[in-house]
Amino acid sequence: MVDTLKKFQVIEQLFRDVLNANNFTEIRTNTVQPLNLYTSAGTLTPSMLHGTYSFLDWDGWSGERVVLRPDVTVPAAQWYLNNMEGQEAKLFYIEPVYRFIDDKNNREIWQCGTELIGISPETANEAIIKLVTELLGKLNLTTAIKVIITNKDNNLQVDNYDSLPDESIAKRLIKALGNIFDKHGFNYEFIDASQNKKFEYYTNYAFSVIANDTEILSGGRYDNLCEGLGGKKAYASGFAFNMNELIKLLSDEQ
Amino acid sequence: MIKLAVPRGSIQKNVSEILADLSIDIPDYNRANRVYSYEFKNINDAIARSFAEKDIPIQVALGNYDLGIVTSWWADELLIKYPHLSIENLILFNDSVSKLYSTRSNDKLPLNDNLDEHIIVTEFPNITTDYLYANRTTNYRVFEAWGNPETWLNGDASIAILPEEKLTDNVKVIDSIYQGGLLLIGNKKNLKKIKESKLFKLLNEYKGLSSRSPFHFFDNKINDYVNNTKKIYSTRKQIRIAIPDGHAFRHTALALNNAGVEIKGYTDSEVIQGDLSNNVNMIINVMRPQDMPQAVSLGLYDIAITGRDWLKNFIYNYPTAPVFEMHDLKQSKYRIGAVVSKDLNVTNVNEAMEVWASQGIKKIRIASEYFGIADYFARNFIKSEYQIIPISGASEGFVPEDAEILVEGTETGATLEANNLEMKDLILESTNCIIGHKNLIDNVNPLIVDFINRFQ
Repeated sequence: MVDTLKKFQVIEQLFRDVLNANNFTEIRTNTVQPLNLYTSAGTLTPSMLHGTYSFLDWDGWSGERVVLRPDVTVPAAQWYLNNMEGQEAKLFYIEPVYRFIDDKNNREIWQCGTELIGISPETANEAIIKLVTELLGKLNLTTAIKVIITNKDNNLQVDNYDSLPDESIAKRLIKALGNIFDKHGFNYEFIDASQNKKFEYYTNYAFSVIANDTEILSGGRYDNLCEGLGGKKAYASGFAFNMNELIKLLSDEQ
Repeated sequence: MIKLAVPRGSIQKNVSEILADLSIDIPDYNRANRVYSYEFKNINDAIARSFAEKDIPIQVALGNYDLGIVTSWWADELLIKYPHLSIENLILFNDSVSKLYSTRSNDKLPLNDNLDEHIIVTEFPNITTDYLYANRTTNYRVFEAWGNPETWLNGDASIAILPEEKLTDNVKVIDSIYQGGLLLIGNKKNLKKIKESKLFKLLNEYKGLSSRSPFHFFDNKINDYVNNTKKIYSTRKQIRIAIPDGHAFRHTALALNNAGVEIKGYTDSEVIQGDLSNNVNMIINVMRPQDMPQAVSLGLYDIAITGRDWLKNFIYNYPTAPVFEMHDLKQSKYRIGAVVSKDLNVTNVNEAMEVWASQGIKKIRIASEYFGIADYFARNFIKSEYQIIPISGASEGFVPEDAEILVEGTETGATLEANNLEMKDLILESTNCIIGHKNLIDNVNPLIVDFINRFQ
């Protein structure tokens, strides 16, 4: 347990250091969120909504249900609308999310993630590639890794990777990740995926990094999210590490 | 021994017919009496008990009963929200006979002064929520009604989820959202024992459908309605009053008449929908007394006549709700308390706890139709792990076999006595009362003051 906690702290510290060095601002969101934050944005699939902890709170007499935050991106976008709408925001968080799954010990999932909102896709994509490669590069991982990339707009899949334009985010992210994995001697493969099955807010590309059949990192673009929450349309993208899974891959020599 | 839970109420006739087809004879089940536990005439290793239908899947999931016969929507209502429960769907006796629809009023638009969202009222909140999730519907709140959700279409709710038999000329169907039928469910952990039993073998001879068909959402028109229907923000001057349905209706209507408030058709035994008031300054509608505290909190009614038990039950669930007791009508006296088996021979629940501890019972099961009151009592007085088992009435027989404590109301104690039960800890005394929205404290309405003064 102590080792697990130390590894957890290593990830947390590394993440905070890297994000602070890149001028990101840490935010906190409420654990208890209104359900309508998730239904009004049309952001979670029905199966994800079923897995949320939703209930009528002590003040739920008006029928307004609340949830234990199943995802941070949506409340982070709401935070942006409340505090920085119209500005460029580089945000990060280290928080748990709550999802009902079979494994009773894994229903509280700690995430460290970033949100780039109001920032042009070109700039944000560059930042995401830089951060993902820097963070994965600095973590001493010990396993084979798969990367899944989907492109919602063009339905591009990695089995036609060669046909992707060189400048596309998907191809550049794959290349950057490939470089970092080569450098560290990881075994890796890129596989296709028809769609991300949990979130519906992705608008352009989405990516996942899979190790031991478990997702340790996922992200993408969600340019309609702010508008779905009642704000003005704003470019938005980001990614999050699943810390519960990531610690299992860290070598003991961090 | 195999234990079968069978439903009471209007569905009882259909179940009896199926059992008769299979030569399964439960003589007392078919008689109109207040016996709830039954023996089989031709099966020695099985017993049966009847429940309010809604309670059967919970009893099977808990393992208190091995098998249950129930309209499939009650099983789905539970399994949609709690898919890991220990319930196996075994035999669907018929299909497409139990249908649910989302409906709206044919002529009344929702008069929704206090909420921006549309109110969707239902007896099936989980099936309803599943339907709304599947349609990506937004801008709604789901209210669970104890019964008669159609009465909310008098302008109180935008949408009511209704079974087919409640579709009338007054309502218009939006979507067909569910179809199912009579279903045999079993406790998953006891399947081996169940399948070896004579009872199951006989039931399994039914020439019904072999597997459970999933329900479907067919039409998906709800978003058009929710997104395109403008709510009316009323400028009404009348006061709105809710009075109770069921057995309390006639008493209340008579009391109103004695107080000089005439009610249309108050001698009728059938509950009437629509405004019952003869006074231009009042609108009087009928609704379930259990639903009134929420309806008043929302401002759908200014005042309502209900029992203090239901007001307290609501307040214990939602302490910030803006509803309060305005006037005690001092009728329909009930004591609500913790009821235990007389065999325990104890003077209070604390002593009973010692007996249960000595018997190795670690988790205290508390059955009640007053979920809020039972949970309030348990939070404050039960010092070990506890579990509240929601039941829908007719609670005789739960204690001691299926629960240690019953939180129950009694007028004379005679029914408890007849079932070898006794109330040990009194939680509250209930009479019927007029409840009102808290904004009436600061905004005195002369019409309401006059109404209440008639009862002084």
